[in-house]
Amino acid sequence: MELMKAFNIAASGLRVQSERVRVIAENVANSGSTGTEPGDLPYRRKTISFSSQLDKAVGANLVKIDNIGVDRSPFGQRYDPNHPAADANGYIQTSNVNSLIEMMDMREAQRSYEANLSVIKMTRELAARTIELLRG
Amino acid sequence: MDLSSIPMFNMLNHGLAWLTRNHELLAENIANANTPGFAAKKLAKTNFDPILRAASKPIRMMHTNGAHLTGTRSTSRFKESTVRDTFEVSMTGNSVSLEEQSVEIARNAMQYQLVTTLYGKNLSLIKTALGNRN
Repeated sequence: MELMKAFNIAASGLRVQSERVRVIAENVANSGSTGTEPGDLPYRRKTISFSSQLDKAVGANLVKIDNIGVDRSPFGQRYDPNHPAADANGYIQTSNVNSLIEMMDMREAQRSYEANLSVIKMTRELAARTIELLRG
Repeated sequence: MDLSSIPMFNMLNHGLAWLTRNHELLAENIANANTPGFAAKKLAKTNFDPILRAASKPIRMMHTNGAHLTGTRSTSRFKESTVRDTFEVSMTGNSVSLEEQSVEIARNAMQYQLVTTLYGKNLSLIKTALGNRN
């Protein structure tokens, strides 16, 4: 039944968006992680990107995770001479995670997730309508 | 008795096939709402005249040798194209507008329900002709 492909497609969308939320959660949780020794690097923000690929088993274009990479933007600096990781001038390097950006990203991930959920609900209704033709 | 020889059922079958393919395409668009470089696709409206004249058969790949692949993807007999005038194209090259696609898929679902209802009504007409009142 061709309509079932829509389930697989929407499911791949759900999978991908949950993975994205996982990466965002990792970033947010580690936004305060700095090094412990002078010269140690703090937490570097992770990024995730998707790609559309033809899945032969399903017979449709599914969305898959392309790459989980790192954000190469520079670290921040904070003056804290008593910190174990402080360098000669008393500065420690802070993570390059911006909480505001992560929050907005999470909202968008939630929106996409809900859109895919409603596709699944709709597909289920259409399939139920079609099967009802057999009845009576 | 082959229902598709009755033009009404043939048309409804064709309409249902188009709506199913459109639903699948829109689901693909929604799932790819954040994929960089992805262009939103749409299905071209189909013409019913050839259907009324002859039962249309899906195009399949030629299979004259045992080593020929038939392909796992059923070659769709409907024409796909990318949506030209989208609401916006994001910085990553993604042209899917989630609101647009959600509205389209809802509209498609309504038409699907209409066609299945029509199909059911026509079936009950035939049943009445057979003498079965249910």
